[in-house]
Amino acid sequence: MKKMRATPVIKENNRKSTNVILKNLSQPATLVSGVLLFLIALCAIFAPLIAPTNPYDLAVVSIMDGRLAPGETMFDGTVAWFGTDGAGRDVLSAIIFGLRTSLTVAVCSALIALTIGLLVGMTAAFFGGRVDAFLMRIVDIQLSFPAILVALVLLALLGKGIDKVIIALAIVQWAIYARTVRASAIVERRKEYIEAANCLGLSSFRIIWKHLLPNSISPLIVLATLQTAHSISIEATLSFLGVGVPITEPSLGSLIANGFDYILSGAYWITFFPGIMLLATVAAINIFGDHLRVLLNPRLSK
Amino acid sequence: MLTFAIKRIMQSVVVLFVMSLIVFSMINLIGDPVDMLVNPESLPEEIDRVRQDFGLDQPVHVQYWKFLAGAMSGDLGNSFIFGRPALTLIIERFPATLELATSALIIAIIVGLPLGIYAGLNPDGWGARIIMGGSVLGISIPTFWLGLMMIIVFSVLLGWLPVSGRGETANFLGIESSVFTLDGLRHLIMPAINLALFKISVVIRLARAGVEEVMALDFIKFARARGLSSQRIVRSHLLPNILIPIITVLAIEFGTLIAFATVTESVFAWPGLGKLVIDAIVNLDRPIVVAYLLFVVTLFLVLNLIVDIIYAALDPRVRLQGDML
Amino acid sequence: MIKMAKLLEINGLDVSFSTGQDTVYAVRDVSINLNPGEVLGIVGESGAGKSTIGNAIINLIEPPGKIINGEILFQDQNLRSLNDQEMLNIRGHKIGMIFQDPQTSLNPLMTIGAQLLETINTTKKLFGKEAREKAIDLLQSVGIEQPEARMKAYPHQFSGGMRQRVVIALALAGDPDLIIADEPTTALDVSTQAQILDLIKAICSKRKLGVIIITHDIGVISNIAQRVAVMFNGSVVETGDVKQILSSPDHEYTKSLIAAVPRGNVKVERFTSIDYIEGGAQTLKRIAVKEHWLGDSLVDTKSEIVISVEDLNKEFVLKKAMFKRNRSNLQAVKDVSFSIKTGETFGLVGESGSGKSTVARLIAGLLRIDKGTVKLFDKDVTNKFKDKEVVTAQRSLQMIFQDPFSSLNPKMSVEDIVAEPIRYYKTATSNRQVKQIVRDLLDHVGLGANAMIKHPHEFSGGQRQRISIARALASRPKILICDEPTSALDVSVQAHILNLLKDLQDEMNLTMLFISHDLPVIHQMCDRIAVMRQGSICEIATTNDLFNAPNHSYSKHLIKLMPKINFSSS
Repeated sequence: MKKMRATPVIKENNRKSTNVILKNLSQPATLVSGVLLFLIALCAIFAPLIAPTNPYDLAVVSIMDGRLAPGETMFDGTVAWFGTDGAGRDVLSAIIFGLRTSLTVAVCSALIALTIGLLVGMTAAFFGGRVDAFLMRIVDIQLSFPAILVALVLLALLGKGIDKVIIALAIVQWAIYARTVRASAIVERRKEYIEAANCLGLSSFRIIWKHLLPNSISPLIVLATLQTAHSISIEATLSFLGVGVPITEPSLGSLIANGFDYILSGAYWITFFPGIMLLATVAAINIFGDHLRVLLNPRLSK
Repeated sequence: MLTFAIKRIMQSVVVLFVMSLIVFSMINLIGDPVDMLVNPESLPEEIDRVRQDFGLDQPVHVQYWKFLAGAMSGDLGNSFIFGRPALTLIIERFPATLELATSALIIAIIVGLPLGIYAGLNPDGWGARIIMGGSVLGISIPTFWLGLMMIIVFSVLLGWLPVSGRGETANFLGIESSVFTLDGLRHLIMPAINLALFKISVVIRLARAGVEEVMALDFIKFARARGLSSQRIVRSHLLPNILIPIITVLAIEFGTLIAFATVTESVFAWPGLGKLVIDAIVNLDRPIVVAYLLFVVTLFLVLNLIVDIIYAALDPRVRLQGDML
Repeated sequence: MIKMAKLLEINGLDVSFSTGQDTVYAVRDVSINLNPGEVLGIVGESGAGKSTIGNAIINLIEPPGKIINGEILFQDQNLRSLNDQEMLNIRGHKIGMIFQDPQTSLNPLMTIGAQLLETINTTKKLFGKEAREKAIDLLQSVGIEQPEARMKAYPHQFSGGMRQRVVIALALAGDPDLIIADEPTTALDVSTQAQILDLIKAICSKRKLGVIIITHDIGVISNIAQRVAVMFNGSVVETGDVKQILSSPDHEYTKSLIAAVPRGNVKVERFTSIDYIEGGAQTLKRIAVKEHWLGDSLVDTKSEIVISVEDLNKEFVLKKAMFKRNRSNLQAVKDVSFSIKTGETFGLVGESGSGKSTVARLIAGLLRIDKGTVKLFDKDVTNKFKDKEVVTAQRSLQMIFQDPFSSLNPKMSVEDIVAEPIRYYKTATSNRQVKQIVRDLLDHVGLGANAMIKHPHEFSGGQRQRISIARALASRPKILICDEPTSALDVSVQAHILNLLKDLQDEMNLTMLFISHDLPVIHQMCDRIAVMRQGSICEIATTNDLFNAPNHSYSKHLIKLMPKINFSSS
């Protein structure tokens, strides 16, 4: 039986954890990715205000502006920093709007999946026994199939549309949230403070809400971050394959697909810049999530 | 061991039945099943006749029974586009996908494992930082976009490699594959590397996490206290303990590779299963979609089964239970 | 007499751990020496730095730890001046080390034969048949029967005690001259502990090894060591002959430490003179219980018998299966009956797996009872989880748990933890009163009101147990079940907590059910004791009767295994 110290070796734990946060935040990678994420979020929310043009306003778009190289000027005088596509749409504006679509889909589906997963996982962990076995069997079966496959098939059957994509991605993802929460909650469930709460005579609801839940969700935060990045990727892939969001509200994936046709003729920028943007977004979220994991994982021995 | 295997096989069969039920219900719930079997532009009399022919005017459980019977004998309907049995088409195209996925997996292991283990053993050095940074990049790059970029650079600009398609194949030891011809290899390289990139990063992270975890364990410390050299510790104590979990994860990831090959096949016009299915989805060739689903479900169940059995065979704690001495 | 060269001589050792801004000294200016063939004990509580010394000798301290100063002379060679390769030749070959947990010390994927052979190959440079013969020899010498067959076995196929024997065999494989044993018996069962200590003693005298035994357990020291160095907070406070130190310690800390060890033969009212360590905690304001909110209670206790347990049975399902014959069940509790009177402290003692904790949880209503009845204050409370009266009766029963780490919700403040039952049941009239009550309770258990805003991780083990006790008090209990409340604590902290429990019992006339595997502790705390083994009660007797004239053979066995520490100078 491990013995506890007579006096704690680490004196001021408060100061310690603040130090860790500061140390992590000041690392260049985290800082850059954090700032980048912030800018991306801004772009997404304020897209109509930020983008130089509205690429989906059919009144403004003109085919005369088609296939301008990056840096050239469009018909109405605005500079197309990233060039224009075949139909004359400013690529930069398209990217900003596309970012908005991509992020909306990813965040919405993540939230839905998280809620469902949380419910299922906590129920399984708290009630245990047959309930747990049954629920986890379903989770295991779903998890043994790759996300992309399930999404593909679901969309084939559901059809096109942003809401359908969100639903499909939520269905694809809930299982991993459920499994993660359940794993965490099952460990906490066995701990003595839950037994103590039982001893005090608290209701099941209060025990789950006040004791079990707050201590089980920290791995979820990291997971949600990384899963958001993952679902942006999947959605982009699906849109690229033609089964994702409709053409009227393209995401970054659709933009890349659009640009596919122009590669051989040399207009590389129509595919290139959306891709870089996609890469940067996903990378930023991943780096941030990684550091979040280090932050939330108390490696400091007590 | 035997009872364990039998139990798992029985479970898989049950899952297979459940999945067939799900697939069948999905077909029935979404739209008129006739649409799936007939060209939507046929005349009304045609449609009625097809309905009768296929017994779609009969109660649901009879239909399911017929569906199941058909499935077990390998008849899952004919493709609209090709007019040939869907299952046959799928089996024809499978080898190309298998080749692509296997190549990607081998590349991922050969490149990713050593890098990940190195990063785990020397976590504070510059090498580790570069490797881990690279791995984040690797899981963030959209595969399809990278494929496009690769085509631009290597095929269009430099002209070294062919733009798309699969090369010639040759037969060696009974396996028909394009790795045995130079032309085949030239066609295989880009798609294989493209598909492998994501996996390399996954393997690196897995390996590194595994190394970190195992090196912190007590038996490593005890091995050092016994005077064993670092090389011996890495070889006999570290590696076996990280490889077992990694192998099991990779085996499941192989399934993901086969599914994800869909994307790479689209970009590189590789004539495999994935391209078949994407075209089928876009062109509403539903028999192919159904056949693909059932085929893939069976494949994954078999894969999972093999993984469980491998795990049980490799880990003595699972293999030899009981017998306390 | 010829002066023998010292086997090991440590002079002025300093080891520090730097984490970010803080630098902590784990070991400060330590000097120790060891003669060949001698057993030296290094005793101290957690954080004393004793394990660090063991690791420092063979240079296995992991960063951010570093040896800053000092020389380590082994057979007249300064180990600190050796490079990595030379150090490798020392480890295993000249100095062997044994760690605490045999389960994690062995590679689970290698047969023990393979692990033995690789050690023999490396240290003795023997291969093939010779190596194999030596391996089998080693296994035999540590008491493992049928060694040839066992060579092919994997670690998980051995029991804890057997595994530790394998570990000892591995440490001896290189024929070292010095063995460092770091808490070699702490993770083992009481009966196994004795066997392993005997084994170490036998081997060391047979091979004329020098042994450094690092432990927190004074019983172990008195059993096997000849000399002892007492450590506190990184420094050696006293060194000397074991008999001398036990009977007339010099340093204040040693005196406190020895005073805190529960005696198996004499019952004391309170542990005295233990203030060196946690000192200062006792000067806080204590409540006059009779006038305080704490003195009111929910249940009127006119009954003489507070807890009555009859034919209690509980079964756990070990292996689920479709067919009945494949299922295996564990009968954790079998036909257990006893009763506890008001104000009495009743002890349940037994080894791990005896079912004592299960009985506690059955009484507390945390587990479903299969067969039998439990009565609290003459009310039948068996499995009645919804009955209002029963719930009230059960609220007057509170529990103190074993693991201070996990018995407090890490995300709640101490105030919220202690106040929760008061707020939930609205037993106070205003929030201000609640806060005042919490402050008083925290003072009463020796923590102080400024603990209120802190979180559990800011406290040590002993302090956390005090918080648990305060939380239990907030329900104004009449019955306190203590499930191994001090097993995870250092000896001196244990003494404080046991004192606190005794004081509370006196003030509030609490009835206590005290569970432990530690006989001396049971001796100190209990009036009547039930001895449990594999789910059944072997014997119920008063403390005096049990310790002086045990009836059941198992009771006799347990009492025999108690460490007989001689604290007198005779």
